[in-house]
Amino acid sequence: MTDEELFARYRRGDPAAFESLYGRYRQSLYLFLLRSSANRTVADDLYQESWARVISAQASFSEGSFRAWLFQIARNLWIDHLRRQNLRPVDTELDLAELGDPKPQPEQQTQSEDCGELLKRSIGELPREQQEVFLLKEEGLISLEQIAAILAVGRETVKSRLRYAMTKLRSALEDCL
Amino acid sequence: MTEQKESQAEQGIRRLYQATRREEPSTELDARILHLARQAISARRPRWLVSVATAAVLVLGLTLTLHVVEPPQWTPEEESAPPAPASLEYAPRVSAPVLQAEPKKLEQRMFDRRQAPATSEYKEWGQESATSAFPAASPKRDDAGGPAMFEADEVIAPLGNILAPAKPLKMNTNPEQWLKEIERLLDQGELPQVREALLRFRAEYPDHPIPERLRPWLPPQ
Repeated sequence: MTDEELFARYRRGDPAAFESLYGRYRQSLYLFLLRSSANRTVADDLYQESWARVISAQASFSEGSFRAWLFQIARNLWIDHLRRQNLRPVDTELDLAELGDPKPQPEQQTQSEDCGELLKRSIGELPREQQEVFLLKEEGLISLEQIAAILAVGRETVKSRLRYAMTKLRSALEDCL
Repeated sequence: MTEQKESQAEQGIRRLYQATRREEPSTELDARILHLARQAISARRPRWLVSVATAAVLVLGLTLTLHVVEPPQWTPEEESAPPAPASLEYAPRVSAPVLQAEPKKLEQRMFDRRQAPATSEYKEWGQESATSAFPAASPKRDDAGGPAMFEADEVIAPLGNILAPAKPLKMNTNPEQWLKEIERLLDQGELPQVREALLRFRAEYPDHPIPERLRPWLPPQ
């Protein structure tokens, strides 16, 4: 069953359909917000608010991709949050350090995990426009066309931002790749 | 070659990124959102449930209201109940002291009036009482324990007489009292009513003697 069919069922009063849909996007949406904000508290708030908007604005979803709609809601909330807080998209290293595994086992801290932490930090340091394109692509698995629609920019612009993001990450992770 | 290296590097970044995807929302957050979703449905569900319930209550209420407001089923006896007197003076008179002293008796009297079988006198008139359209009421005391007050019968009957077309004089007591009332009408110069009343009286009591002073006004048979 597609996302849209599940959402339609939920709108008709089937809570199980929502649970299925929620399960599909539970982690990806959360990670999108967590990587964007680099702050668990902010991510938690925005994540809950995003789903609350989906629930309350369910009637406004008529057609198109549920996935794109969901990430657009989350992204808009994140932008609103930035405007309210007048913050940089990614805060200090202190915030980025919070993104690590909450209880890392010393024996598990391999080279790969170090690279993982480096990657998270590097994503956080990307310019917001590049960061959101990368995260929408990686977490949302959204096509370039849909990202372009969400950001209200051209497809080539999205492609360009993604290329810049990859170049910076590749440069930062040179020793890991 | 360079493009191939770039592509491999991007795939490496994606693999690495996927390997870092460990964080997830807390179970409390999950529970909150799922509860919110269920709540939204249950909040929406009562819209039609409430509509149905409201409709049911309205129907029930309307039924009960109609049942209560529906005029009592009059028995034939009640339909031929005594018509209202022709004038206010013939409306049941209840003095305040009597009301104060004997509310129970008055109540009983009112009850008796309502329950009384139709007499030939009433049947003769063949007219529906002005009060018959209204349920009779019992006298009741006011909250301060003041004099009892009649409501429906005592108030509506005179009102009915005012609104209704003039009816022939009729005494709802004994023949002697009826004749005295006719004499009183004669004293007041109400000759048409005197004639009509005498005609009715004669029909009701054909053998009862008519006072001398009233005989001239008795229509010829």
